[in-house]
Amino acid sequence: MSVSSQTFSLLKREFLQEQRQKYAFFGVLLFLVSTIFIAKFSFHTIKSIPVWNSLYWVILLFAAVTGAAKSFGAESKGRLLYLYTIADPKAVLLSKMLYNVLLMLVLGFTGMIFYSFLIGFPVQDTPMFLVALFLGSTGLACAFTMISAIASKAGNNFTLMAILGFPVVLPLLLAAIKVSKYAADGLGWAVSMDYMLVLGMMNLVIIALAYLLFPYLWRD
Amino acid sequence: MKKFLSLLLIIVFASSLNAQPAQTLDEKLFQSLHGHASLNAVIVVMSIILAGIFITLWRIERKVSRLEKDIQKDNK
Amino acid sequence: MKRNWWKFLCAAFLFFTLIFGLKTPVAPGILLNCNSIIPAYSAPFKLEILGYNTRFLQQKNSFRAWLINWDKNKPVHICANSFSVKDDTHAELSFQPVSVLDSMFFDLAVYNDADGKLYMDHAIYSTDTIRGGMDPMCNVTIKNEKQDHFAFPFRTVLYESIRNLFFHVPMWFSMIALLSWALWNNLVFLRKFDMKNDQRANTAITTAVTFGVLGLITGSIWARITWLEWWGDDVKLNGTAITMLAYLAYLVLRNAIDDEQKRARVTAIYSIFAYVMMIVLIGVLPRLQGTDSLHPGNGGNPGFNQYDLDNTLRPVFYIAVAGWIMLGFWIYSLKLRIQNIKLHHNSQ
Repeated sequence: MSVSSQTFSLLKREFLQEQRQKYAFFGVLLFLVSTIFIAKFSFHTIKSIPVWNSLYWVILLFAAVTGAAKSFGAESKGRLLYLYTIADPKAVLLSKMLYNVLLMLVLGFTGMIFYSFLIGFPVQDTPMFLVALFLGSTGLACAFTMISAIASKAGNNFTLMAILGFPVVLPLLLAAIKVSKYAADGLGWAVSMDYMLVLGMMNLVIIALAYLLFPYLWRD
Repeated sequence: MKKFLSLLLIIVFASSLNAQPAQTLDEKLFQSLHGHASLNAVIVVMSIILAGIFITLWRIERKVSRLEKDIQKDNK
Repeated sequence: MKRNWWKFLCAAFLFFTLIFGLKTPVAPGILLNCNSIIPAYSAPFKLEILGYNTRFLQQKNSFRAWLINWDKNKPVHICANSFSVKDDTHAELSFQPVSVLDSMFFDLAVYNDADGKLYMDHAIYSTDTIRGGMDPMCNVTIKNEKQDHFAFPFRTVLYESIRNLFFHVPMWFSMIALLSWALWNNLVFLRKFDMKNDQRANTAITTAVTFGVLGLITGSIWARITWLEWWGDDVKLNGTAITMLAYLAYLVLRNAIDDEQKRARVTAIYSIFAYVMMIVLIGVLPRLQGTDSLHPGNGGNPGFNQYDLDNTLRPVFYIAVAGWIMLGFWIYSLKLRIQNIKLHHNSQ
């Protein structure tokens, strides 16, 4: 079977698993919503755009860590070994990555709806903000999938995942925060084009590196 | 403890340089130009780099002496 | 002896850096020691100037001072009608009333034969913008455009601390050189699975972290003097701090895995990620528009242009960088040899 067809059948498996044990998706969603409520109780409404913007990204960052930690962490050792014997490592990575990207997009956008409903939506250029949200969530999901794979090789604890993950996703997060802030300020596409490009390039680089390096990580 | 002492020594050394009088320019000029303070920055920066190198050397030395002890023990 | 030639070169380069970096004087320069707002077209005024490393008194005969006002990109010189030189570094200039032409800013130039022309951009300005009257124009003839001996440029804010260029900046070059060597060894390791490469990469990274920490501390000291804060909002500063966090995370990861082969593989992969992120953090992000950076060459400016690094700084700077990089590799090679002896001894 080719890598792409393997990827799709593995992706289907991820969704099936999700259907059986619903806590994974709803757990992270609950985390997101309760964090937004905490923000609501402590801030009421946020007038300052930089604060509004970075608070949402910080919330999303922690949601991404909790969400992505499940991708390799939740699998038992036996199941990983089974996957190793039947599937191409690249297909395993791509399926997990795709699943995480979809998860993060759903979380990011539903979270944004809650967040703007409760705390306010001071964004002037909505399409650009959505593009920033899309690129940022995709990047977070891809980076944390790979980091989760690395952490799963090292005793798999959540602290290690955070220590390894934060420095790696920080440049991505900084660029995403900048683009979404420009969008909120309504500065237009020309101003944020550089950052948008860097953000897109970083996504590609992370995906490419993960794709190339994962086979080395996978074999035991 | 020794690391701490060496650091302390360097800080004392660096701060004692504050007390040295200006050579050619008067005090008021130095204050207005930060000339004195800016030269001190160079001295402190160099002291810190030297301290870093000394700490590294010290750590290498400890590793070597531990290795020496091990080899001696095994040879007996 | 043949293998150690570069260590002698390293020592020679560092000696050169120390001697020339500290011995070379800072070029003469001038500062204003009075109010920089002047009344336009009404009253005569006086300017008190401070010299730095200047020889006003020695060269009193050739002393001259004039203001430059720009009239549609054409300079208009306004000479001081009298001046009094108190000592080598203090002088007082008096001017006739001036009228404001195209620009409300006046540049100040002071000349003597020994120091050359000392220039101060936008030294004074006038709040008044009335045009009219004739300025006491003068033609200035100059013998020496610049002073004749070798000196580092005079920069306000930096002053003497410009010498830190040879001590603070090479720390980063050293760190990046060692990290690049580690990256290369990580890549080779993933090709050949030779533990030698893993050993090299790990030792290079621990040495690089030492240099990175030194760079952060020295940068903080320099920032306190020049930017008046220990830790500013500078992209490059925060970027390097995050890079250090990534490589510290690498060391944590290394301690978390017991199996040697697996540890080498996993950490190699993580350090490749960390290297790429470092390139983005300190190579790409600071160069974009709209970032707050006080470092030269950032926030959209080209890096290390002739304004930041002039011809007197350049030779010393390059030699300093080469010297510190070699010192980094020297420390690295010592650590590596100890590791090898330990491995060899344990396997016996």
